[in-house]
Amino acid sequence: MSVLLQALVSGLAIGAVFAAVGLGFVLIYRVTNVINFAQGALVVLGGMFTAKLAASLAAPVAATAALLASAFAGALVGWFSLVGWAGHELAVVMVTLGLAVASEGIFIWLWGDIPVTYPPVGSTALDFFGAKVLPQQLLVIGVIAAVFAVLHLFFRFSYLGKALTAAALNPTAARVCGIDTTVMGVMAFAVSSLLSGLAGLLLVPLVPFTPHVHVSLAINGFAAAVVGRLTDPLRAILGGLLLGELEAIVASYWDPNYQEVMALALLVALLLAQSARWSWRWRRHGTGA
Amino acid sequence: MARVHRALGLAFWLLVLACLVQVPAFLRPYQLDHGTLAAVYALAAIGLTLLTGYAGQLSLGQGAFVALGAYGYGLLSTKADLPVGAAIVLALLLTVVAAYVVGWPLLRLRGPYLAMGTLATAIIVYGLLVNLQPLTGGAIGLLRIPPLEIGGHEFRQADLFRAAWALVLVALLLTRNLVHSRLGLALRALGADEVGAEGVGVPASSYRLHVFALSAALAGMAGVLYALHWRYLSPDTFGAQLSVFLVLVVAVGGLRNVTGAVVGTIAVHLLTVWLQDLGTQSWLPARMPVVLSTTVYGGLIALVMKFMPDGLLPALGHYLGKLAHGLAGLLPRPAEGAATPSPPPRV
Amino acid sequence: MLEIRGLVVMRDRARVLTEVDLDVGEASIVALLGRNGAGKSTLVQTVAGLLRPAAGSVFFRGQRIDRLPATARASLGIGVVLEGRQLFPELSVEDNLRLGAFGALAHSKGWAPLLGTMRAELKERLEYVYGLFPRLRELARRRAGLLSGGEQQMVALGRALVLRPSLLVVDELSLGLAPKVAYSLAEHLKLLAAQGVAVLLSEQNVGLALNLAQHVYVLNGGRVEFSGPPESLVATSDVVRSYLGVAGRGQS
Repeated sequence: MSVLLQALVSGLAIGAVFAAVGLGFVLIYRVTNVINFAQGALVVLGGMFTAKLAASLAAPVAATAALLASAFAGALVGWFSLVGWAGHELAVVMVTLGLAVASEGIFIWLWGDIPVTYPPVGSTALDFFGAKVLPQQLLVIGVIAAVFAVLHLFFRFSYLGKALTAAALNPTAARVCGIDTTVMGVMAFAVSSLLSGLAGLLLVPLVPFTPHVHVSLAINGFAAAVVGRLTDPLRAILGGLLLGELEAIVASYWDPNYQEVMALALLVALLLAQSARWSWRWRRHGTGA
Repeated sequence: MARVHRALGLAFWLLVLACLVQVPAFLRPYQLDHGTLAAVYALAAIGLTLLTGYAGQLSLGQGAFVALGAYGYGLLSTKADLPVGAAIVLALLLTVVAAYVVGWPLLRLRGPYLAMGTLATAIIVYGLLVNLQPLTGGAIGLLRIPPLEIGGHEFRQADLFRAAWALVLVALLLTRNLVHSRLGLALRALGADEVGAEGVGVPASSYRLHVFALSAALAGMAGVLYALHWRYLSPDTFGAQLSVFLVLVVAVGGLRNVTGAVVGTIAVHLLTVWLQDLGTQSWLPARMPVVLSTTVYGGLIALVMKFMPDGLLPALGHYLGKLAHGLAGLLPRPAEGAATPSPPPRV
Repeated sequence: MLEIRGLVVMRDRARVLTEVDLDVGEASIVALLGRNGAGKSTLVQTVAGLLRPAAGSVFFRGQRIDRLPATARASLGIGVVLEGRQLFPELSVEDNLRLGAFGALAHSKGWAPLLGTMRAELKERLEYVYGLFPRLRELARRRAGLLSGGEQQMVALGRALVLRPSLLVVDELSLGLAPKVAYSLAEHLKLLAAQGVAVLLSEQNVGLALNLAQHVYVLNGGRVEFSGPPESLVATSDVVRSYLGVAGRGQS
């Protein structure tokens, strides 16, 4: 019983991270129709940057710096992918893929290939009905949940949030209203990257990062987004949480080595299930006039 | 004029063949190794160009089929103790069958979903290769794979180099014929607009599957060649990085240019080797080779796909052509009656 | 207010508009007529900034705008009603209206106020639109996608008017609407013109357009085949018959 509970809690924590990445995918896709393969790299940025800085600075300061860096990096990725573009969408996907691969190299150069981490919040595990729960896990779940709530309020009630939604719903109409869809797109990238960076810096005390983990994070986040059909934020969040729980259970009761394989197989199954419902049409990704 | 072109084309190919036979004598062993490796990659790249360039199906999983071919031959010849010839044939067959089995559900996906799905498949294959230790030797790898022997003559380095590149040439010629045939036209229609292609009677789903299998067959052949040359396999050679590398090569060489894929492979491979040499200079930190290659790969993909989506080499060719045109304009006009040089034959 | 000279617009390497000259003055309604495919929508989209001309120029209040992107034109005072309404279906009517002013506000007030505090300014503009279309006040909280065609067209018009435009460009006002509804909306355009707004209307419904406009252009095959007041169009029966497909007089 306590084993299950422990798995559920750790699954919830990792699931919150997947949900955050998945939400990032959804946000960017809704506004720009782009699938950002580099999403995982931004999680790594948040995590490793904080870990390295936390050696010399106080953790909150390091975290803030990492968040700013993530938002900025994300905006750069967005700007590079979106501006001056009149090509096939296949190519845009490849651009983000290329940036993700390049980031791996850059991170290895900056921070090395060995797993890095920084101390988690609270030094002792809490006892929760016989299961060991780390305060850091609660922090991950709590903070990400709070951020989700803030984002929801932002998109629901603020003028800018509605403008972003409008750009997602009808780009042409948005443009004649004076809403610059490219600027909105870069903003979507920035917000998603902020979210990813946050997820990264919260997760890294629990799971040390190397620059290579961006692939696994991106795939899991994408699986969550696929549950949300790439457009539904709530379903994407639920998908992420579910995926995290499933992986934790597989790791606990079965073989941890197969955790990744299972996640991937699940992703493929999800993709196939969703594709049965709707099909993807290539679109010209043009900025028009 | 056409006859002159054809004659020049033929001469070009004969020259290439002659090089193929002679070159190994001038190369040192490690250069032969790299040369053969380039041929292996080129073969897989040709397959990927067909799939991604012409038929428009972005696959990030080509490396998985190279792995299947390599490990297929390796396992069949060591664990199953099959004779070399049978092992090769069976390995190829298995790769093709796997392609049909995996492709049938996967190819229902489109666009980035297919990309993610194939990437996931590549990583699954890698994970299986690492985890199925008793079968595949896990991370340590598969050792002592028998080499190719025909009529008592063991194919060593130089022989394999020639065999590999001969295969590349054959594949090149065959695919070019395919591309220019009616079937090729149907494929390109498929890649451009699937719904439209179906509208004019192209059976999209089955064609997509067949191209997938053909591409996998070429990758499998590449894998077999790899196993025959190096006779040692480890999962790390066949990770997601290989698939990404192949996509880069196709992007660089031109999405719809099979010859470009081969040239692109050679170019990128040379770049990789140069970067590795550069990275191991004593004054650079230890992890430089990986850093350089990864960053350059990724950066190249991003830059090429953004600014030259039709491929780096076609774009370069375009600019060089313009440059040549411009320079030609500066030259004094030839005397009346003198033959103007004809452009090099389109290869 | 709006001057177009020698406009050439290409679409997929085909010429859709050739050597088009057009003027829209203050406080007037100019109608654009022509068969399907004649280039009316293309012209409207070029004025809106969604398409870039291959040649020629577009002047708005003396300023050359043909190189400006669509997003910048809103802040200049050009309001656009797109073909088929093109609302933001999941947002409320009021949100749709408020977003119409986004460009204008972003341009004049900078970014910071957008993060929440433009209420007073927006309220004023909303009141103006509700004054013109009282029905919208009742529908303010409804999701725009759930409204009837006529109501949606009202929202689309209102959204364009929220930025207090000096030029209003309308693509197919009457499309998909019952005649009564279309005519009622047309009356609003008359009102706006009386207030000083310049209106460019691209229309399929010839009768509606002739009733409304002070000046009419007829496009055929991307060229201007007729330019003049509605009365002389009706009198020129061969133009009317062959290009608009209606009999000469008495059609309205």
